[in-house]
Parts: sequence; C-alpha cells; structure tokens
Amino acid sequence: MKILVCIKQVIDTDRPLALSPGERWLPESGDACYRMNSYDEYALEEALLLKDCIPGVEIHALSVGPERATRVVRQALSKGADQGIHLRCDKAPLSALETAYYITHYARSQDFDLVLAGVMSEDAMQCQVGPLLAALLSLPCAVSVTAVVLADGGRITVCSELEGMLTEKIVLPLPAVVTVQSGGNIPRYPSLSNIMRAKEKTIRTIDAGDMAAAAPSEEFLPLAYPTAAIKGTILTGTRDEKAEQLLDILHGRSLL
Amino acid sequence: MTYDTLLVLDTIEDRLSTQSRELITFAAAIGCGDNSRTLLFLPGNNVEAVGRALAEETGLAIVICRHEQLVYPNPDLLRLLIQETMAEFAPKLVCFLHTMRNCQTASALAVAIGASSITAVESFIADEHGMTFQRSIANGKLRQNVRPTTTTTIVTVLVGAFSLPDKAPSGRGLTGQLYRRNYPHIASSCMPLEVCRETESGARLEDADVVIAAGRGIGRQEKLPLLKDLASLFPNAAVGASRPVCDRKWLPFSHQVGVTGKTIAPRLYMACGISGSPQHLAGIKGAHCIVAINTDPHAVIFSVADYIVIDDLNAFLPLLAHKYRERFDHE
Ligand SMILES: Cc1cc2nc3c(=O)[nH]c(=O)nc-3n(C[C@H](O)[C@H](O)[C@H](O)COP(=O)(O)OP(=O)(O)OC[C@H]3O[C@@H](n4cnc5c(N)ncnc54)[C@H](O)[C@@H]3O)c2cc1C
Repeated sequence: MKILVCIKQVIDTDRPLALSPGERWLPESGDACYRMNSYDEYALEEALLLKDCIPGVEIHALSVGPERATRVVRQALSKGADQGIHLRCDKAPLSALETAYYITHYARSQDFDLVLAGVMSEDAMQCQVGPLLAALLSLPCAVSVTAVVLADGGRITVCSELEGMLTEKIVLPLPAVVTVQSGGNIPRYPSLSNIMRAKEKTIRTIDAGDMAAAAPSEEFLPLAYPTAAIKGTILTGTRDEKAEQLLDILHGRSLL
Repeated sequence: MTYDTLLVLDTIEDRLSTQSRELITFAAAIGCGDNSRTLLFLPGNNVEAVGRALAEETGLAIVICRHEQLVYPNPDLLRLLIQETMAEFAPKLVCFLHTMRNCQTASALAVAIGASSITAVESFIADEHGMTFQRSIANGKLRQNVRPTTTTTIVTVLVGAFSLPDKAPSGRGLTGQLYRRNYPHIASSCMPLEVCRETESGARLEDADVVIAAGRGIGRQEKLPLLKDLASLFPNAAVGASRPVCDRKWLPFSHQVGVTGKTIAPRLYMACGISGSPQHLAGIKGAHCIVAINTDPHAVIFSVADYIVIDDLNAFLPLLAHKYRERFDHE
C-alpha cells in the first residue's frame, strides 16, 4: 500500500505578523518562525498508524513551497515517512488550485492507494487542497476525518466530523483522498535513531517551474489587518491593579 | 428561466439547518436587497414539505432535489446534482455555508466547471472591478481580499457572518416558484452509513452562567487547576476549552466550545490563552460578557472581548483568585 501525505510549512501565528503595504502574502520571516501545519501532523500520524499495523505500507511525504519547506519534509522522514519530496515553488500566495495541481502531477506518477492531507492549512485556511486533489485525480474523497480503518474489498471506513458535534461514518473505495482533522490521534515525536536515519535520506526536489501550472481563477489583492477594532476596555496598570479592576467589574456586573 | 445566484441549503436526515438561511441574507446583501434572481437548492431524500414551507416563507424560487442517497451529507453526489441544476438555471454565483463538507462540494464543483472557489467568506465589496470577497487568514490575524477571475464563482460563507433573515410578514402570499428535480441515474461511490451525535456526558457548559475557558496557551494539562480554582469562586460556573485542549485530551470533548463543539451563551466567558480563531468564536457569539487574558497584544480574541487583560495567565489567574479571597472571604 502506497500512501501520499501532503504537508505544508506554515508560519507560527502566535508571533506578531507585520505587513508592508501592498503585500499579498505573509512576509518571509526567519527559519524559526515556521513549523509543520498541525493538521498535516495528524494526517502524517494517521499514515504512520496504518504503517504500524499493515505490512508493506510505503509513505511519501510531499511539500509544495520554497526552499525552507524541505525542513518539514525532513521532519516527516524523521517520524517514519519513507520518501521525501519537495515540489519547489517560490510563488506566494499560491491558490489552493495551483497547489493541488502541482501535487496532482506527482501523484499521477506514482499510483497511490491513499492520499492524505490536513483538513486545513493554518495560514491560508481554505480547506480546499485535499478535495481539489480528489477532483483533479477523479478519486473519491472524505474530509475532516478522525479515523481511517481499512475494510474488506479495497475499501476504507472513515469517521468524518461534521459541525455541531455530529460524526458521519462513510465507506469509500480505494484509491481515495482523505483530509484529516485534529484529535483522532496523537502525533508522535521522532525517535533519535529515526532522526539520525532521516538525515541520511535524500529529499527528491522537483521544480514546479518544470510542471504545467493551473490557470489562475482568482486574483489576490493586498492583505489588510482586520477591521474589527478593539471595542472593549483594556485593563491597565500593574498586575495587581488589573486584578483589582477586574474584580470590581465582575462585582459591578453582579457576576461574583 | 435563469437565476443569478444559487444558494445551496444543508439538510441532514431531511432536516434543514437553520443557519443555512443566513445565505439568504448574504444573497440579499449582494443583490442590494433584491433576491428575485436568487434560487434556493434544497437537497434531501424527502424534503417536499420543507421546500414548500420555505418557498412560502421566503417567497424565493426553490429547487427541491430528491435523491435517496441524500439522507446523510454526500458532497460527491451533491456536486453532481448541483451541476445538473446549474446546467438548467445558469447561475453565476453559487453559495454554500462554510462547512468542511461544503468546501468539499465547492472544490469538486470548481474543478468540474472551471469556476473559482473562495471559502470562508466573511464579507464582500462590490465595485467597478466586480466582486471582491474578504476572508481571514493566519487564524484571523490578517484579512485577505480575493477577486474571482472566472465567469462563475463559488463561495462558502462563514457561519454567523450574516444574520438570519427576518421572517417574512405573514399573509404576504407570494410563494416562490417550485422546481422539483430528481436525477435517479446519478450515483456516488461514497457511501455514508450513518450520522452519530456525540453523546459524551460530562461538562454542562450550556447551563453554566460563567464559563472559564482554557486554550492552548495554558501550555500543560497541569495548569488546569488554575482555571478550576477560579471557576469555584462563581456560583454556577464550568470549565470550557478550545479544540487543541480537547485534542490533547487535557479535558474531555464535552468541554469543547466552537463550531465542532458546543455553542454557548453564558453571562460571562473568560478566555484564558485562547487566540480567537473563527471556529472558536462561532461558539461564543451569544456570550453576554467576554473577558480575555492573553500574552499576545494582537490576539484576535481581543477584538470580541469586553475586557482585555494582556498578561500571562499563569501569574494573573492565581492572583485574581487570591485577591478575590482576600476581599470577599472575610465578609
Ligand atoms: C474544521 C475545523 C473545526 C474546528 N472547530 C473548532 C472548535 O469547535 N473549537 C475550537 O476552539 N477550535 C476549533 N478549530 C481549531 C481552530 O482553528 C484553532 O486552531 C483553535 O481554536 C485554536 O485554539 P487556541 O486558541 O486554544 O490555540 P492557539 O490558537 O494556539 O492560541 C493560543 C493562545 O494562547 C496565548 N498564550 C500563550 N501562552 C500564554 C500565557 N502564558 N498566558 C496567556 N496567553 C498565552 C497565545 O498568545 C495564543 O493567542 C477547528 C478547526 C477546523 C479546521
């Protein structure tokens, strides 16, 4: 069984994000500001869990992005992926369709049984790359999945989370595309020996410039800060003073 | 007959999702108050009665699309059915509520018909350049403006971004045109088996007057007693959580607040180490008073908070509890 896991490198949004005027995407920052998209960590873990219990599973971890994206591919290798692929592309922002298009090129060359991706990337928040891939590859798809179970007859059963605390159980034939939601598993830490082994492995780099690109279907205009300004009261002063003020407020509102 | 806009409504087991109606407000905003060129699309197994009631209530034209495989959400099938409807009515804009399932349908439809698909839309600008859709990126810290360059556009609209339409005054008597369509020859290889409701009992967040909520910013499960201690000071309080806290099993799922957790409306919501993602905020729209404690002065939660504390919760929460005891325990 061959599994492709799509992994994105995203910027850490806990940090201040300073925009220069006219910027259409998040400005490039130092290496330390980037990490693996957390939903992709769950997708990778789901693949590794399948590999743990089924003999002969081969995992390809792929990332589309600039040079720095090789870091998350290496990280995936150190967690147990067998092959690392970097589809190098410096354009930003890429539309979800452009990203999916590039991944499709690679997927077509390989005959995967299962393609996994995170349900959403934490930077672009489009929730589309997975289902677009499925559409481009003409494969069945399930999104927001918290468990993948191999069933008889080349099929999988998945638990797909709906909004409002509902879960849908779906059976789909393989090959298929599944996007993974957080919470269904606990992503592992790489073992030291795996980290060492991953260092030896070569990551295959494919230049996106050598591939046909999707015709753009939307134009990205300059980014802005949200307009919803702060309406509330910022408590000021020392920590003691802030605590006193908050108690006064809660008491005044008869909450305490 | 052709229509400009198609609004795809959500049903599960033939029940219409209330929030689907927000799309009607969205379409009216785009049409400057005029929804006469808007067509509703109601999928389900047996949705005749729901459809008729909706046509009566809203006065809007509606496609009642029946298919026995539509008892449970099936984006793969839905996409094929919508495509048939689009071929007949030629809408230029197709709108869904922003759910994960609808993003799937939107993506599949976009590829099938060569349309632009823009998800999690919160607002729009209509000017001489056409439509520009606005959406959040980076967990809500920045806003992206996206302009479709295709003739047909598909959008998913963030839940809660537009209000529910006012109920039409009764006796207006304008029932919308009904189109009944079924396409029995269309089938899907995806088989939904059932939909289950999470029944884990436990946290009774819905009934609490005060919810003290933990976010990923608490850092470790061992910090939860800080929040529990604070909650114990209020008469009817419970501890809530953001999704990452429940994902890490620091608290059971029944504590989760947001689109995939509970929707609550407490008198006081105290968000501790919660950044304020759109998915989390969707669950606390009804809160009467929000206090947010966060170290990041740019945290998005501050844009909805009534009282803002820029501080480390590890130091602030124990101090708050301590000061409370100092002040009130002797009374
Ligand atoms: C389909 C889908 C459904 C989802 N449904 C939900 C849902 O129902 N509910 C939900 O909550 N999320 C949901 N999410 C996840 C959501 O997108 C966010 O990832 C999540 O809400 C973030 O949780 P958080 O604010 O606790 O963590 P983060 O976004 O990581 O924020 C942590 C915050 O803590 C602050 N902080 C750090 N240290 C301290 C400290 N010492 N003191 C004070 N502050 C500190 C940081 O500044 C930061 O703002 C969903 C996502 C998807 C894709």
